[in-house]
Amino acid sequence: MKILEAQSATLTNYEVYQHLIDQRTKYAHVKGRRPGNLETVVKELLDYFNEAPSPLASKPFPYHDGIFKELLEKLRRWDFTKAEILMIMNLRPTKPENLNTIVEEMEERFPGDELQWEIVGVIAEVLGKPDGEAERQAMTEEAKEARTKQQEGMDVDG
Amino acid sequence: MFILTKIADLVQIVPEDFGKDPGQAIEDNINAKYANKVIQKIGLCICLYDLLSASEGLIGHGTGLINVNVEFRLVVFRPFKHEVMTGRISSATTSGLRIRTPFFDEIFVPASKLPEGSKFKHDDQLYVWETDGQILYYDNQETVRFRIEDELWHDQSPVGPREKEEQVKSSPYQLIATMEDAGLGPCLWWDGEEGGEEEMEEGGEEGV
Repeated sequence: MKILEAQSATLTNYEVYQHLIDQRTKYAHVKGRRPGNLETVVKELLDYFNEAPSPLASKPFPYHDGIFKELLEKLRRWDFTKAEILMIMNLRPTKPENLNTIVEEMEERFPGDELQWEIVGVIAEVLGKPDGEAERQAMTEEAKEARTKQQEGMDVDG
Repeated sequence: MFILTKIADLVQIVPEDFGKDPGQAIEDNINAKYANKVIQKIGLCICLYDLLSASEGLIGHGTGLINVNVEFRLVVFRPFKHEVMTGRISSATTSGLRIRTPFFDEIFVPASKLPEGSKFKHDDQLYVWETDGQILYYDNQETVRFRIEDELWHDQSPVGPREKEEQVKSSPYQLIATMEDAGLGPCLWWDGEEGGEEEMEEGGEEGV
């Protein structure tokens, strides 16, 4: 094994998700089993993407081909770094508080409420807005389910 | 969170797989070797992204294996420093919070990287955050947002018998994260309803 290039590109979550889905569709028509370790990691990763608050789990599905081009064009007038853009695509911040975690020194770079709401407004316009209530409910449900599972696991171990 | 890594390797196809489509045989071989495994200083490999080139298949002496030199790209999980991610709290100890995602469970938030006013409650084995007289809980399995601060690599290659005793078993790839900033921590605290904008911007201390 020889590493030719440690990092030849960065991928957004949507691109990885799309790759996994395409791969699954392709494999459905191929005979035989795929390696077990592959199936494990693909299933776990899809579980992660389908969990709230991932935008990939929200309905209607916010992404489509060419959406990032559209987003980049609309965000061009502000000076975001590449890493910030990537996180905006992955996390879809639709509130200044959420944007604040992603953008460093937001108060200095993008001062004022009005500007910050304008930015998240543009993001929401392209990527859509999460259904806050449904998302919170999904998160609570998921947490409950996981806690029950954890409890059961303990009982079995004991 | 994900990157592409370009790798060159030798793939050996066993005779049982000669019936498969050659491309698929190579793909399965690469996935069996790399998927769900950590390469030091690269990250957790997910799966093959694309095959860039493959040489002619050559059969060596003594075995029936077909040897193919391939170049390919892998999808790799490697969050960059300062990347914000979501995950779930899996457990809490006095030293900090452990966080997991379905596919990766080696994320740790040291107690010192929790927001000021966070305390460990021994009765419940949980952390709480006291702010403005309010008590907010870091419940188990709660979905949280965190920022990656550091990564730790532990080479798993075997060592000599003498060194073996001193070695502590640790996972090959660990992430250290922080929740110190406003907006980080349990998502339920921050993703409030739409109406609460006015109060929220006071640093967003109000729990929801």
